[in-house]
Amino acid sequence: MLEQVEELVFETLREFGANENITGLDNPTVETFLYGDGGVLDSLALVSLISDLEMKLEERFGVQLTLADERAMSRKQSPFRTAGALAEFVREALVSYS
Amino acid sequence: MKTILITGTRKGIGKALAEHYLGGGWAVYGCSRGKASIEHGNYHHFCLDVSDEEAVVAMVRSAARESGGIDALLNNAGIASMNHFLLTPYPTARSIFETNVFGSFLFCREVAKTMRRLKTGRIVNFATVATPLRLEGEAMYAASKAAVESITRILAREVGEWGITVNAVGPTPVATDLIRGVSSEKMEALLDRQAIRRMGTVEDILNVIDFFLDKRSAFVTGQVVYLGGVG
Ligand SMILES: NC(=O)c1ccc[n+]([C@@H]2O[C@H](COP(=O)([O-])OP(=O)(O)OC[C@H]3O[C@@H](n4cnc5c(N)ncnc54)[C@H](OP(=O)(O)O)[C@@H]3O)[C@@H](O)[C@H]2O)c1
Repeated sequence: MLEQVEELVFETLREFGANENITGLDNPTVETFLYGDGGVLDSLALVSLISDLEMKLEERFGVQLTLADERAMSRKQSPFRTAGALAEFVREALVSYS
Repeated sequence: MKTILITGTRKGIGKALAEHYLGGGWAVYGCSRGKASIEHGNYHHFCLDVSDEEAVVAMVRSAARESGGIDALLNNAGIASMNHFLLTPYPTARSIFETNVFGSFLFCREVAKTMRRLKTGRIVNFATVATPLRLEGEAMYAASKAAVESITRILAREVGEWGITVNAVGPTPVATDLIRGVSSEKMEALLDRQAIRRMGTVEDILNVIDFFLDKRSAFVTGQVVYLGGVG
């Protein structure tokens, strides 16, 4: 499942990078830094990316998740630091949703 | 066809707004806790409580998907309660905040997410003259609408970059069920404090909303417009 989720996160990142003209997202890997030191996203771009990801999850899996929930916001390790952390976070959210 | 989402469309101002926009050729997505009271080919009703997060998310996403994009949101659903502060039950205070503040919060959040993709959109929230008039007996209602005003002003700044405007209209009393319990002396005293001493009408509110929704109002955001010369 993680692989599937990673692919969905990467796909969203690629599309997002193309739409918003953000370099560094054309070929994302689990190590790609998203937000924070060395990350390619500013805070507004992160907000947009999360909401794109929510839409994508609904299109693909038919689930209506609100990703920016309290768990995400109160974690010590930000789930938005790297593409890999984001994928793991989305996987956990999907598991607890089902 | 343009699409508008209006909350609280079963009766009162929300119903009149829905009928107005249906008449103007819009597709209208409405909601209320009770069943639909409008029958029209372009009207879609959702039975929900505006403070139910899951139901709000589901409604907004299905409206956006079906219509291809929501052009405007009117956060009209609201409740009030007249009580001396010392006699205001906690559950009453809570439900006022749940409907007026958290309901508006949820719809603003979810609809703004969909408008961001279109890089345009209009959000209109509902304030009240009770806030600037500091009306005795309506502390929790006025406080909830003060929160709605703050949300309006700050959200406007957070989504301005995406071409979304967020404004609020602050009506004077309009004859609906919301104010049925207010005594005539209280009402007279309230009208006395307006610059123009009469009850408000749905047309007065529509005029302000139409201005906010106008294509030419793309540079008008973060504003609260009170009617009747209050504020
Ligand atoms: N009338 C006035 O004098 C006046 C003055 C200033 C501002 N306003 C504002 O204008 C707005 C509309 O007021 P109104 O006079 O038309 O009130 P109203 O006649 O009491 O109607 C309220 C509408 O909101 C719906 N509603 C209430 N709570 C809801 C909830 N939790 N979830 C979903 N729907 C809900 C109701 O339907 P259900 O009961 O079926 O849910 C109804 O359709 C409110 O925001 C109010 O604060 C009114």
